[in-house]
Order: sequence, then C-alpha cells, then structure tokens
Amino acid sequence: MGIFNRNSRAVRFAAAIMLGVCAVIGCARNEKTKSGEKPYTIGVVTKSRNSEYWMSVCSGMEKAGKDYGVSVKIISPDSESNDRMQKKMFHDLIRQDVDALAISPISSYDAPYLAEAEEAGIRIVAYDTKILAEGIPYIGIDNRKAGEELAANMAARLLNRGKVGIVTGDLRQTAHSERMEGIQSYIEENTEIEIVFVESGYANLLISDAEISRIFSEYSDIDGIFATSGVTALGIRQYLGESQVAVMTVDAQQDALTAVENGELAALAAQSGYDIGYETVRFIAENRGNNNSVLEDRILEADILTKDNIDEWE
Amino acid sequence: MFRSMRSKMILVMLAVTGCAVVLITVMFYQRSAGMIEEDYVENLYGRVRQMGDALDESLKEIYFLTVQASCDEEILSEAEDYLSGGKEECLTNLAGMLRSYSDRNSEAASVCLVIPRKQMIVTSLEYPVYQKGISEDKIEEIRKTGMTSLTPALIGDPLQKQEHILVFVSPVEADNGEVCAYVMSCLKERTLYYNYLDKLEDGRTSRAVLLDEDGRIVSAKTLEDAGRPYNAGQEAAAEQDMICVQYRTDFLGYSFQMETEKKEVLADLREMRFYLAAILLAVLGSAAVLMVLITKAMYQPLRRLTETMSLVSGGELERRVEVTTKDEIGILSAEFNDMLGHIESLIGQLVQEEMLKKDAELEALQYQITPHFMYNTLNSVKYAALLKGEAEIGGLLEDFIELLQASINKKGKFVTVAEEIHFVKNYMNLQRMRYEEEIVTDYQIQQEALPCFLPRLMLQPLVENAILHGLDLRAGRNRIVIGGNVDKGQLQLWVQDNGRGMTKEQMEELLQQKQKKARGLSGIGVANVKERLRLYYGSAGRVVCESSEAGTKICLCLPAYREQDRYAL
Repeated sequence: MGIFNRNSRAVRFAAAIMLGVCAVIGCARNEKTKSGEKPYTIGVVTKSRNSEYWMSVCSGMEKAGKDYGVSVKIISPDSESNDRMQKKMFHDLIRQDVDALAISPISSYDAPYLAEAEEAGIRIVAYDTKILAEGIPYIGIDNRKAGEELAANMAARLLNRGKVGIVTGDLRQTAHSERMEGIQSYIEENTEIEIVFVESGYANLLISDAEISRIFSEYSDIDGIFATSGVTALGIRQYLGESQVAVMTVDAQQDALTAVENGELAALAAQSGYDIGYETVRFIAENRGNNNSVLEDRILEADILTKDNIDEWE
Repeated sequence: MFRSMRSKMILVMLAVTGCAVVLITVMFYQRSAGMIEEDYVENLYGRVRQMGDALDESLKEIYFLTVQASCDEEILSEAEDYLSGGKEECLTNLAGMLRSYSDRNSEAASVCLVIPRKQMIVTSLEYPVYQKGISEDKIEEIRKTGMTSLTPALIGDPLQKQEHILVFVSPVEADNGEVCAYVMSCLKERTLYYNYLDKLEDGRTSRAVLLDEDGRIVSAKTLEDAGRPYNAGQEAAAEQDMICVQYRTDFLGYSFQMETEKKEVLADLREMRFYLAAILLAVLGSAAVLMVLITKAMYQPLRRLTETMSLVSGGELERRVEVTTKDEIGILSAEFNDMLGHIESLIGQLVQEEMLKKDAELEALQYQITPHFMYNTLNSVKYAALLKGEAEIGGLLEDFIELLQASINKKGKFVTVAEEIHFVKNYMNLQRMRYEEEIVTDYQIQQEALPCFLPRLMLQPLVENAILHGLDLRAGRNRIVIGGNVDKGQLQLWVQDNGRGMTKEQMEELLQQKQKKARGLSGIGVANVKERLRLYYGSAGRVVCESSEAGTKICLCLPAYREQDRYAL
C-alpha cells in the first residue's frame, strides 16, 4: 500500500507532526528555580517606631514598595528625641549601599549625613518634616497652612476673642515650628485673640500631668489650646475632662479622629501618615534613575476636621 | 506477514493509537512533573520567605538594640570613666547595663562592649564579665564591622576560639566624635541554624544555607562551612538535577539558599510511571482487540469479493458476490457482478455467432456431398449422351456439372463477379430447359464490376427466388435482369424480375426465414445470403429489397475489392 511507501508524503507529514508534538512536549519544561535578586532599595528612617502615626507611615511605604516593585528598608530610633540614634541609622543606611534615602529628621537644621549621601550618589528625600538644605525634596502636608487653618477655625469658634496657648513638639523639626508659625501669624494678623503661652518640646511624648497642671494653674482662664502633635493634644484633652477649652491639633490617627467625633477635640488638621508614607515611596520610585535633577516638593492635602464634617471625610 | 490490507490497517491504527497514547502519557507526565515542581518551589519559596522575614525581623531588633546601646549616655559615661580612671567597678556597671540590653532579645547570645584602647571586652555574660588581652587582629576585625552597624559580620568568637558568631557592631562616640568603644551584639551561628535553617528541612532538602551579601556561608548544617564561600560551581553542576530556591531578605540582604534533589520531589510521580505504563499497555491491548474485531467485520465483504474474483478467474463465471453493504465495497461488488453478467452476455453472443458460422459452413459442406456424387454420376451420363449423339443433353449436363463444381469448389469461398455470373448462366440454361425457354435473362454487368470478389453462390439464390416466386410465366412476365456495377468503392449486384411482386410481409419473411434445402438447387435462400453478407462484411454488407406490382428487385451491397481473401474469416 501507498502509505507504507518510505517516500510517501503522508508518512513524511505524519513524521513532521510527531516531531512537532515531541518538540512542544520537550520545550514544555518548567522553571525550577526561584530566586530573589537585589531590587531598587529605599532606606527609610522614621522618627519613632511605636506610635500609630509612624506605624501607618511604615504601612503606606511598604504598600507602595509592593506596588512599585522596590524594596523598602525601614529603621526607627526609639523616640522622636533620639537624634543621635537617628543620625547613626542614616549613617548605617548610607554605608549599606541603598539607592535612595527617605528621612523624617528629628532635627531639620542639622543634617551631617547629606554630604556622605551625596558622595555615595544616594538620592535623599525628606518626608513628614523638611530638611532645611537645598535640593532636598519634601513630601508631606503644608504645615504652616495647616496651622493657619486651625487658627482660623479656633477664631471662628471663639468669635475672634479670648486666650489661647500653643504646645509644640521639638522646634528643631519644621513640622512643629511651621505649624506654630502658621497659628501665630494668623491669630496675630486676623484676630484679637491673645496667645498667652507657647510651650515646646512635647512631640510624641505624653505630656505629664505635672506639666499640664502647671500650665493650667498659670493660665486658668484659657479658651483654647493648639497642640502640634496629636499625642500631646490627646494627653491634654484627657486632663481637661469635661472642660470647655477647645483643643486643636494636627494628626489623623484613629484615637484622634474618635476624639473629634466625640467632640473632645474641637478640630483636627488631618495629616494621613499612610498617604505620606505611600507618596514618599511612590515619589522616589517614579524618579529612580533621575538622581541628578532637582525635584519639586510634593505637598499633600490636610483637611480640617470637626465634629460637623468628620462623617463626610474618608 | 502484513500483506493483507486488513493487517496493514490494523498496524497503522495501532501505530497511530500507540503514538497518540505515548505522547499523551509523556505530555501528562511532564506537565505533572512540572506542576509538582512548580508547587514545590512555590511552597518552599513561601516557607523560605517566611523564615527569611522572621530572621530579618529578629536581626533588625538586634541591630536596633546595638545602636540603642551605642547611643546610651550611661554606657558612654561609664566607658569614659573607665578609660580615664581604670576602675574595675566601671566594668561591673557596664556589664550590668549590657545585660539589661541582652535580656531584651532572646536570640542575642550576648551584648559586649569592646574597648580597643584597653584591648578588652566587657560582656553581658555571667562569665567572663570582661576579658582583657584581646588581640589587635580581633579588635581590628570588630572595628571594620563597626563601619556600618546595619551589616552583621561572621567572625570567630573572640572569647571562645572554636565558635563562629554573627555580630552587629556600633561605635560608641563621645561628644567630640571620638570612638571610645564599640557595642557588639553576638548571635551564635548554631542559633541561626537551629532557629531558621533546620526548620526548613523536611527530609528532602539536601542543602540549606544562609549566605551573606558577598556570597559567603553564614550558616549551614555543617558548622565548618560557616565563613566559606558558597560553591557556585557545585550549584551550576547540580542545577540540572536540583530544584533551587533563593530568597534575599529585605533588611539585611542575606540570602536563604535551598537546594532539593529533583528526584526526591518527584519520587511519588516516578512510582506512578509503572502505573502509567500498565495503563498504556492495557489501552493498546484493548485497542488491538477492538481493531481486530472491527476490521474483521469491515473486511468481510471485501474478503467475499476477493474469493469470488478468485473463483471467477478460475473459470466459474456464473459466480456472483453477495452484496450486503452500501459502502464502497458494496458498490464495487455490485459493479463486479454487473461486469460478470456483461461478460457472460458477450461470450454467449460470440458463441452464438460462431455456431451460426459453423452451421453455415456445415450446411454448405452438407450441400456439397450430393452435388459431388451427382457430378460424378452425371459426368458419366454426359459422356454416354455425347457418345449416342445427344449433344443438347450433353450440353445441359455440362452446365449442371459446372454448377455442381461451383458448389464444391475448394479453391476458396470467394469468387469473382464474372465467375458468379457464369454459375448463374449455367443455372439459367438448366432452368430454360425446364421452362422451355420461356424465361428471358438480361445481363447488365458493368465491366469494372467483373473482377471484384464476392462470396460464391450469392446471385444464384436470388435468381432462383425470382424464378420461383417472382415470374408469372402464364402472364408473360418472364424477364429477369441481372445487373452489377461499382459505385464509390461499393459493389452492387441485383436481380430484378418483372413478376407479380411481393407484399411487405412476404419480403420480411423472405429476408428473415431460413430456406430449407429441399427447395431449389441450393436451398440456401435469400436469408442465408443476407446472413453471410453480415458475417463477412458486417454493416458494409447488406441486402436491399424493392417490390411493386411491376416486379421485385433484390440488390446486394458489399465493398468492391479485388483481393480474394481480404474478408476471409
């Protein structure tokens, strides 16, 4: 029969099909090795490691790291006051050959690590708090504007009269100093409200009962208090109990939002730690390989929340 | 062995089925192996990543602890006090402070303070609380490690020479920036192995190692491997047979390297190969049996056809194939039966024609016997008449003898027109004596026609027919015209009488019915003439009859030729 002819076209065709199928099967090998190669790495140093705000910052950064395919290496000093430890961590990260460094400095004025980072070709970005040096982009809210808007809210509440006090964090950090300046400038320029005291150095540390007692014994007729840190504001609020003194601050951690809902905090400039963390990593990831150009700041919105509008805020 | 179409078909089907089954089996095996490998790699990678993240977190805590201790103002102060005063009490205080840090992390074996200027180490251990006389090399190694506190280093334990320890080192700096000591947090290599690598072992893993960023082994099953470079060559060689998973930790950049022998992972699947082979053989066996049964049923009509053809070729033409299907074989069988019928019909026709021819020949021979005997007898009578002076009777006998000679002539079956006319004249002489010269004969033969050949005794039956059935002597219708000519290669010979004529039915009977020998001289008849013309010349030879009240004309048409045996059978 023709089909058994060695030169038959049918036989050759069948052989070709068999070879094709075998080739397909032969090629269908699976990748058997899974390995981790060194990705683009962003070193991050926070100011603290245990507050809700900083944990949300870290969460946003890690999420953005996954979304943009970069590795985020986060380390934190034990408190917002341990400047020495934070600087040592900057130093360690720079020596560890990261590709970029995101810093929220405990001191905005003293940044000896900048030269070392520049020498190593590492991009530095400041978040949450500015570094007062040229060419360092900043990602965070406009703290001065947040201070002004809180002051405007307080003025409306007090009908432009009365006495207020300001409790700030460490003024070496621009986040606190700018918020204070914003509050001060608005009140002085637009109202008849008197700022009766400015107490500083309470960032992220619960203000002690003794300190609060001292302040309120000295200024018992006070109508409102600005705290540049949410933790400090909540400590004051707890001390005041049912007092009608209006307390305002900058934050977006859950206990602060709950306090606004309950009317315990009169107003809150909502600074989302998650958004700041996410935007910081996104900013760096989007500008990777662009180390030589000067980058613009990325300013995030900070809504003023009160009991009246907090339900509408997401 | 494989001559029959059925066996070839079975072979082809088995080959195709076998190839398909083998290919599918191999493909499924490979895909299964691939999926098992993939799942294993995914699973292993997940476990390694989990373990890596846990290690990363733990080491991050030890790093944090180290940096925190190096920034501890009290440690700095005590160290400075010791360096300035050299009080043993300071060392005890330092050990207590270090112990408080060490207690914060269960994996840290100890937290030490290395004081280079004094070549001593203060520890958080119960013993030794401090150790002096640390070598310059060790101090230098620790100092280098302290260049970046984030990266731990695997070093020989400066206190216990046999062990490797993983250390984080962070410098303790005075306010003026001078490094007065180093905080060194220690983690034993065996702690790393048993807390992390050993937990990844599942009896299949042939090698689990922890590598630093430079590719050196930080921890492995064998203690001696710590500090050695990882054998990349061995990795490459083993790649074909090994499943390798690597996970690089985010914080430290350490890599977990897991290698598993592929054959271990696929051991269960390999056992299944025998099962697959058994299924394959069973499928092929079943297919073979089915094919034998199916092809047997399919090829039964073909077998019947083959057998019948064989019998027919042996001569049994009456055989027919039993047609049971309407497929190609059925159609072929039916066509074969039709063809056999047609062949049989043709053969019958040939036999009939041959028999007719033989019959005509025999009939002619049979008619020769009587004239031959009569010829001999009449020849004796003719000479007796001539001896007695009866010349007329002698002449008539002469004519009769010549006519008999023509009928038994052995020189050939074909004669010229001239010879045929001579026979007719002899015949007419005899008939004239019978009818006392009442019959008038007119010969109108074209000269060109005389040499042409024709079968003998073709005209005589026509003349005889004219005399017996045509002429009406009482009415004076006694004229016979015998003519012939050649026109366009065709010889035409006719016999025409002026007799009573014939009806159409009589003419048909004349042309169809065979004459019996009892009538006339030859007894051959017009039908015989017509049949002989058809046998010799086919469609070129024919008889045309025309009849009316004025008489009858029978015309013979045949090819004009001058070679005697051109149409001999």
